[in-house]
Amino acid sequence: MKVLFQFLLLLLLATAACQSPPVSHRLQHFEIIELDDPDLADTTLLAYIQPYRDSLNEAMNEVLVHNEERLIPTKPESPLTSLVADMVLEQGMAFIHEASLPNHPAVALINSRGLRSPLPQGKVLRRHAFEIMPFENVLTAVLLDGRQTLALFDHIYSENGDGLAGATCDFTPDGTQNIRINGKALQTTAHYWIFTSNYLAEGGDGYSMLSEADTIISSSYAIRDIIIEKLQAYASANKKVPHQFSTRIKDLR
Amino acid sequence: MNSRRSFIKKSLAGAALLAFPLSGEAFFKKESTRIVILHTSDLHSRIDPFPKDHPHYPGKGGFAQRAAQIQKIRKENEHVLLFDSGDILQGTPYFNFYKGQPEFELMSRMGYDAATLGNHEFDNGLEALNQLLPHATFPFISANYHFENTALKGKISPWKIFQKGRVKIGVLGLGIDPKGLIADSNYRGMEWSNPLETGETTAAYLKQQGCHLVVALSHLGLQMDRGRYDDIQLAAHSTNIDLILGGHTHSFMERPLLTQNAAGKEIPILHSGQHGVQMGRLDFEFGSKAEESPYQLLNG
Repeated sequence: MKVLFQFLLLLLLATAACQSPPVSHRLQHFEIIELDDPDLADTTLLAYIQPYRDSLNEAMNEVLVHNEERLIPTKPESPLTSLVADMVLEQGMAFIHEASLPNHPAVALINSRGLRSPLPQGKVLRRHAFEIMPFENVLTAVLLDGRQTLALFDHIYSENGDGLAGATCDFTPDGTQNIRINGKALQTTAHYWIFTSNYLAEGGDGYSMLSEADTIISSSYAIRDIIIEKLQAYASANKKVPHQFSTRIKDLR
Repeated sequence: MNSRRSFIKKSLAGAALLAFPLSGEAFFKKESTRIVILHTSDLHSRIDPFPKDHPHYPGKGGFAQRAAQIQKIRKENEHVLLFDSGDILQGTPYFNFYKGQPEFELMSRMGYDAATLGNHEFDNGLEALNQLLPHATFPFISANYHFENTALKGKISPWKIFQKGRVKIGVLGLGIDPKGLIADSNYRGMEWSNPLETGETTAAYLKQQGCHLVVALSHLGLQMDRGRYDDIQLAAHSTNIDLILGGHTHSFMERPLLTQNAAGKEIPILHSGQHGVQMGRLDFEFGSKAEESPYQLLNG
């Protein structure tokens, strides 16, 4: 009987071992390490970075223009979103002409969130243009009918505004009203060019009505290059970078 | 929205008490194993530190500074794992000029163990990402981005298992729905699947493979609107994910957020801010010591 009991006990232990007894894990320590001492840097990595930084700095420190007032990108609209939208509208018109595309009233649309940094006061460097527009987006022309254009303005409202040029509208508690393109009320029977980035043209930020259009034409103009060239053009023409802009979105909410 | 916020606060209040029983080997009874997990996210090509006069992050960040910290932690600890939750790329002219090569090479030198793909990894398209991958010696993992019909076929693993001493850590990657976020032409051919379901299926598989801890590297965002899945939903849907290391929303946390999973257990979610101005560190202890006082967070 004793032997049998010992055998059963052994069997029980063996089975228990096979079943793998539970093992705990415990979060014993956590830490949010602030990396706030740039002097404590790994020298091997610094040496790796140096040549990249040097050639980058040379290119990026080129002065594009002197700017009198800092321009910021905010919603529903702001000096910087209006400035960039104006630049895109001008380039878009040139593109339509070069590409021999049909003439229609045109609107430029730039998403505020796509402009990642302010245009600084004082020397504007090539670096700043990259910080404002880090993305490799290109100017894209989208042809919308009147109803699609209405949907576009409804979406601009639900986005709490974006950079506009060539059009004005009112934001009321009931939505977008009083949409005017080239100074004329929007007509549902008309067609309109929307000059924007390929990101929005492909439906980014919820602008699905753009991606659903029948005519979407990409240009080879990077939005950032448009910004750089237009800023340089102000400098070479001895003109100031504008800092006051007409109201495009009248906020009546 | 308000109730969700107060729920997060309550979860934070409970963060001092943590314990996670798991199945494992008998030899864990004899000694414990400590694994240090380091985490970054949304580095956005911030190779250099911010300028010393920067209004928000004066002198903070920079890849070389992070490397020095990582090296120090590796010297002090036997088992260290270093992960990134995506959006390594885009945000400074380094990316515009060099297309991501220095970022990947520097992170390889730092000894990153794995990263998941953020939406900005696609900014120059799939072919550019394909050209860039050989510059990373660490794997990119994603369980819910499917590349079978693209140039990246076979180059992105859904998960990876790390053996650290006697501990097996399973890591899976989860990516955000690209629709409306990444230009269509930049991910053409890639399929996306539901991260909540794919995440849980993959985590269950990793547990079957004997992993003692399953980590989700997520680029879903901590808390999203407009019907997008997020890390809080991921935790609530899962029973097999033990830790979520997240990104995309650039969220700064003072401590890991504890949130209930589908089995009613609390699991930590950690986001480590943005631009490499911070690095998250979580130390897990496996084995007998943990069993002696399972409900005590020793420090932090």
